[in-house]
Amino acid sequence: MSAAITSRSLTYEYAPGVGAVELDLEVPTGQVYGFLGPNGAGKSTAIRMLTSLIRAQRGSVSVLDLDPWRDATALHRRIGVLASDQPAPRHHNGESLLRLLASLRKQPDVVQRGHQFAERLSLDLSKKGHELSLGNRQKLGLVTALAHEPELIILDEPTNGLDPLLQREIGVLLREIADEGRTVLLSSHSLHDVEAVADHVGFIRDARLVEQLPLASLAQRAVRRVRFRFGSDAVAAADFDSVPNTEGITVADDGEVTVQYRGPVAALLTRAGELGAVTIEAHPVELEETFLALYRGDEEVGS
Amino acid sequence: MITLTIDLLRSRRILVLGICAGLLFTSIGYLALYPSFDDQLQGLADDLPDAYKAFIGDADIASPEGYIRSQVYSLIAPLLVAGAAIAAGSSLARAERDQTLVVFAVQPLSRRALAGAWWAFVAIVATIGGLASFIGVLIGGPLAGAEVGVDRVLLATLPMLIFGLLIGSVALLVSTLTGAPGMATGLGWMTILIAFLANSLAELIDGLSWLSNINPWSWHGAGEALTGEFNSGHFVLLLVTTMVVTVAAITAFERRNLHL
Repeated sequence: MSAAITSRSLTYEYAPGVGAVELDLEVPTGQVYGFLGPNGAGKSTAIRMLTSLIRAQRGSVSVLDLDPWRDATALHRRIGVLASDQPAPRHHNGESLLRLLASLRKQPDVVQRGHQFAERLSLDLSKKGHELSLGNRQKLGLVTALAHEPELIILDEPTNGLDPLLQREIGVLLREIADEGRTVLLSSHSLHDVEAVADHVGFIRDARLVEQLPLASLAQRAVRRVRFRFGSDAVAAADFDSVPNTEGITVADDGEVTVQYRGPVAALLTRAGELGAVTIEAHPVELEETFLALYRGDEEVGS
Repeated sequence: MITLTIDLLRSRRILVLGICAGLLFTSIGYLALYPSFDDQLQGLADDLPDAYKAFIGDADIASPEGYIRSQVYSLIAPLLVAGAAIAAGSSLARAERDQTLVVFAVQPLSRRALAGAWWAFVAIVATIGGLASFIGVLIGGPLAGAEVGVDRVLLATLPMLIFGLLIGSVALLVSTLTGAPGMATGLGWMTILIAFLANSLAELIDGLSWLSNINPWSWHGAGEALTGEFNSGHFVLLLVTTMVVTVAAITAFERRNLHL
């Protein structure tokens, strides 16, 4: 499978260790790539290099087989970008902005497609930039990033300020785009936001890419957390000793049992059923915990 | 590029129209008032200190033409035209500061085209300002009793327009170099202030007369062509300096990492 984005030792440092350092990115074509990391980890710096806003200090990068700095104009013709917290130009409403972008891109159909996306995201195109809420600014940014049908879409925290229903709708939209053979780079600080839609994920932490893997592999390695409530019989942590891949079991005073585990969940569910589980709740695990778990896994493998 | 320039003009039309109206009505108003106090001015002209004369371009305010030079071409017009051009030139940095530039920076426009569109915006703002003062003097001149032809007004206005464009290009250069709107505005106005003071000092102090040769304020001549010769050498200097600053501004923007 060819790569839409490839980088080797890609680096831009604002100060030593601050920015993005030695990134070896590999974003497969036709997939959704979740670019994950806590705030300030270096995701936006990497995206700025990929979109020609800043020039890499070291390393090499190819985006759609183009050099983002040298071939910026040709690249911008083929990509759609939503920057982090992208504002809406205050003098424009959505309609006039779409017309302007259609004219700049010499693609008149941008307006019509923009309307279709706006309708799908319930965005009112008649409001001016300064009248839009954070969520609506994000929607407008998404519409302008998608309306020219780019081959590669780079979205920096696109679901900020959006309600869960819209987040889900955007996930569906991005999956449709990937199913058409186009590529999406989706940056987020939330694993939960990304795992429903991504095929691949890359983790960046303290300016460095620490892991890059297919989502299926992550499912095997990431830590999950589930909570069980049981019937009348008290359940102890030791009752789960026979279940493989559990990592920490706590039993609350009210009898609720929280289990952290990695890999397939079948054995855990079977055991919980045997013990008389009445309810089960799955809880998202914070990204930082996933990082730590991945590190722990790496150390265990390495030791 | 033209699309973006038109959009910039449209989105900042209040600034442009305000400057135009200001130039037009202030010029006409000042000149229309002249007949009501020209007698006093004729008595006053000989008694004015040299320092004051230097600040008004050494114009003879006892004559209507000199009055036009002292009020319009030495003060109102260059300050308003250059001020509008500074606002236009610094708006690129303002768009970078408020992040709206990112919307255009990821479109298929080269950095050169993007900076070029902004420069064209500065040039059109300066031209509209120059046109407003040209019309203002054409209308207000006869009201002041001046007998100046259209060609003389044009030759007086043209260098002032290019002076405004030069100052706007300086603001654009600071914008493209730093992305700091405050610095672009501040350095633009500082350039005007230094040029204005240097011009006055050069008129007052013999040892500093050489300043006139390197000072764009002196080059625009404060409407000298109304009553005297059009200094084509100074006009060419203004044009060349403006071109150099413009090329520097566009080159800086092509090379700089944007704060977006």
